[in-house]
Amino acid sequence: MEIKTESKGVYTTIKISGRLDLNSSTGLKEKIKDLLADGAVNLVVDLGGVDFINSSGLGTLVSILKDVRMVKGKMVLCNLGRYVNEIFEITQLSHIFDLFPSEEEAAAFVSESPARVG
Amino acid sequence: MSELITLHLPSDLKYLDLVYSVTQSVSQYCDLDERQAHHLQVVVSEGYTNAVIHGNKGHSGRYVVLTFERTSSFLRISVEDEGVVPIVMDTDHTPILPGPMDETGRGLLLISTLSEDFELLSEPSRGNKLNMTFRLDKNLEMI
Repeated sequence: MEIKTESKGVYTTIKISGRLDLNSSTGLKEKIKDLLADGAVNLVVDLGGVDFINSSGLGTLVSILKDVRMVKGKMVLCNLGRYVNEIFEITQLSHIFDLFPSEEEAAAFVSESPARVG
Repeated sequence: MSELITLHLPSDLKYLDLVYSVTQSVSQYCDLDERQAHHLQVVVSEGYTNAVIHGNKGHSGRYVVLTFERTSSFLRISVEDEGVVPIVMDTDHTPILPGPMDETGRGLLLISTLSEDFELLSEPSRGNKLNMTFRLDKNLEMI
């Protein structure tokens, strides 16, 4: 799995590609932990490159969401592929996460009322 | 008549990529469409991960036996571990749904939804066996 992060000022994008399962979860958690520690608490997670997710990957995203909320941040997901979206629908996590079809729409949502650290 | 492929894998998540590769090959062999192939990857990965983490309790000296059996109409998959799984099911043998912010507990829900049928057999002295069935039918309705 590959993770690319980019600061866009008010928010940070995290682009993930590959499989999101138990093996790749640790790396993602570490990366997010570092971002939150640096004060990057408004996150747009782009899952456009994720071609596979299972319950372990979902659990990791839930864990990250909880960490983000703990620091009063915001986290949204965007660009879910067809099969990844199906997994979110089956597990009803589509009701828990804010999902957007594009980074632009996700960014607009986060930028409306971004969480501020401090 | 059925065709059988059996793998004895060390109980270690470093073999998960191998599991994906074999599952992909099975999908191609069974001529599954893209969506069915994806479903198969999900349920097999759930079964193997569950066996390693919960069934065998992460004990690397144990094994997981993964079997694919193809008949004319069905693909049957079984995942067998050597331990005892504290899987919690409702009394009618349906997976108990996790809470919305629970980080675990969605594996059996995915298995029960994406496979045609499944059962989980547990024997304290013999381990657990997860059996799943896929219909070899291209006309899947969207969930």
